[in-house]
Amino acid sequence: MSEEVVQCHGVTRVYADDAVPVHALRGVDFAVHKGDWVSLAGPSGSGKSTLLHIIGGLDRPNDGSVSVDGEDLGGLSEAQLSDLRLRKIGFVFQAYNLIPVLTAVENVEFIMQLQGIGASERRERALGILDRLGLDDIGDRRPGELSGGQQQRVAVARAVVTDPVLLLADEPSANLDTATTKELLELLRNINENHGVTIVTATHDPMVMGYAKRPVNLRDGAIESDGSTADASPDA
Amino acid sequence: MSELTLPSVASTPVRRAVGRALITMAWRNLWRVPRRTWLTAGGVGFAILLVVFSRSIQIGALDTMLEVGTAQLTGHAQVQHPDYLDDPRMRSTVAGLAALTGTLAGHPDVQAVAPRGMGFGLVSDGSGERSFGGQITGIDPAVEFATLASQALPGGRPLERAGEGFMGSKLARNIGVAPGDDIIVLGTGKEGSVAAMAVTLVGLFESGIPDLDRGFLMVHFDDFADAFGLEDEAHAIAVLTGDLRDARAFAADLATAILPLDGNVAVRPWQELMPELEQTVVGEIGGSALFALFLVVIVTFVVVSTFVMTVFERTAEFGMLKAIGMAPGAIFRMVQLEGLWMSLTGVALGLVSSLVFVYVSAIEGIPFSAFGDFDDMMARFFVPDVMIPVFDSAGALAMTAMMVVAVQAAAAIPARRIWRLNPVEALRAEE
Ligand SMILES: Nc1ncnc2c1ncn2[C@@H]1O[C@H](COP(=O)(O)OP(=O)(O)O)[C@@H](O)[C@H]1O
Ligand SMILES: [Mg+2]
Repeated sequence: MSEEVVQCHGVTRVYADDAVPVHALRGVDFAVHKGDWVSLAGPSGSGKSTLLHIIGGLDRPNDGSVSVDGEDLGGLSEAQLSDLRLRKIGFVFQAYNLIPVLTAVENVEFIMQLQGIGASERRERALGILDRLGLDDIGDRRPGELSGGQQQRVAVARAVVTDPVLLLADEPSANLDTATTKELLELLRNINENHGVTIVTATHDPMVMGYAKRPVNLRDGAIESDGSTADASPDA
Repeated sequence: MSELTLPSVASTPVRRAVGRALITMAWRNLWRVPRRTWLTAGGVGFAILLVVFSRSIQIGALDTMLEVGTAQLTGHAQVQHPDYLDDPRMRSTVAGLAALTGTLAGHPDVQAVAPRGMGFGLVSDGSGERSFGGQITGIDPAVEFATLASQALPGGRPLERAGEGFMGSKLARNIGVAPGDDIIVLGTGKEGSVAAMAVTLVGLFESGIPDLDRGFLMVHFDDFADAFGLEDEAHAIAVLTGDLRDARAFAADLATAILPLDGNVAVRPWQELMPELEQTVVGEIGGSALFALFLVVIVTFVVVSTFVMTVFERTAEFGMLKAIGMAPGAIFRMVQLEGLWMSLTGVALGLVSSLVFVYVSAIEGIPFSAFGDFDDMMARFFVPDVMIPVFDSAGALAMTAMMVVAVQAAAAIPARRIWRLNPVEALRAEE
């Protein structure tokens, strides 16, 4: 349980494109344990997405180091990062998660296609995950025929079907109402608790924070409070 | 310390599986904006239709022109003395005429054989008062195929036997003779002696070609041989074959076939006998090739703009695909496949429509009067009223190839940015 899936040391990210450099992350030290559900919280602009992207190998820190599943991301080329994302990380974004021309099943299958998994195994696993996540009735619909909540849940199915070491979700509920947000969160709790998927969400939605095991608060690019320390001192 | 020894995602079976997925995805992507796809593929198809149909008409017309132009006099090839083409002298004859014509007639690709004697002479009326220079051609009416020799103006008839003459209408008018009149021909024989003959004019022709109408007299080959001193020899043996487009190969083939008989001959395909006719064909075909290239360029610009829109609109989607670990090269290939589907759709439209156009218009033929362009050239020959288009399969193939390549290039131009695309920014931009 104490195995660390993610380790961040002194992660710094400065956006220097504008006249005034933006310090999105100021030396973040942070780790995610296997099976945990961390919720990065904090006001808009506090660096949640930036940290999530860096952990996911979508962005690189200016300083500091990040490792995922024991792999130092700093030493990887773009192609190797892409490979790592494909094999080890599942992503759920706020929107545009699914390929519009593929049905829900095909979307779930597609990621396995990229991994080179055979057709019959692909289909079986895609149908299996949709079934387990209660999405079997919408498998042959295309994203355009799905509600926002359904799309996000298919995105979760797509993200976890390959058994990633880490599921990253950035504002997954931003476009959802309360009821569908709850459905999505139940789903995430299900895969976290019953399937042992490690999750990091970034959101300012209090509902999401309520479901996560470990809230981590960011402010101005630094960790302000970490639920794991809060766990250690029950009075907090 | 690095344990990232994942099986490479670029391994062959993976690529193949992804390739299959991409083909389907590309096809569906193509129809996301059907109107745009129809317009673009329609542009590709229309360019093919324009080029193939216009060239089919052109080829039909040129074929007719060549058919008519070669049948009129020269034939598809001629056996001549090697010097005769550049320097047509009376003494430059092919010898062993009987044996040569026999061998030629026996060749499987030869359809007709016509010996000719050719020389210059002074043509006069019976009294010798009015004389004009002209080309005297001896023909054998029994085997002659030249259409010039077979179409007489009303009031006369073509040459049938020895002792007769058949001449251009202008020449007759200049000399002041008409069918039924006697005419006298004076020239220089093969050995330098005076050649003289008297024949009866039996008919006139009018080809529309001034040089022929003004200075061409046909007489019987035997009369010509007698007068000019030819013995089992001729200046040319004109032959016809099945397809005049094969004339060069045919001529080369004939040359080897008759080589054992007499080494001192040359077989001239019509292209050498009438270089200006071939020049016309080459010029016309070249012009239409330029037109085709021009259309390809125009359509390429349209396709580029279509794909600029497509790639731009799908920035977030491409960002997401990169984010989940799809290699930029694979996304690029998908866009290339969309281009391929696009061009194949256009090619199908273009080929089907041009086939329909060509075959429908070939049923009745197209009146030559519809093409002002050809009038000038056509007026020089006896041309049928309608022309039958011939499907331009070479052009269709070339257009297909050019369009496929052009569309791939056009799709690649905007798709290059997939490599530079930052997935985070691409996804953020759409929020
Ligand atoms: N591409 C960028 N260029 C410049 N500044 C950026 C860029 N991305 C993020 N930022 C800035 O970095 C800070 C952190 O952003 P972000 O990680 O998106 O915060 P959050 O997700 O918590 O709202 C913000 O001030 C934001 O404006
Ligand atoms: Mg954010």
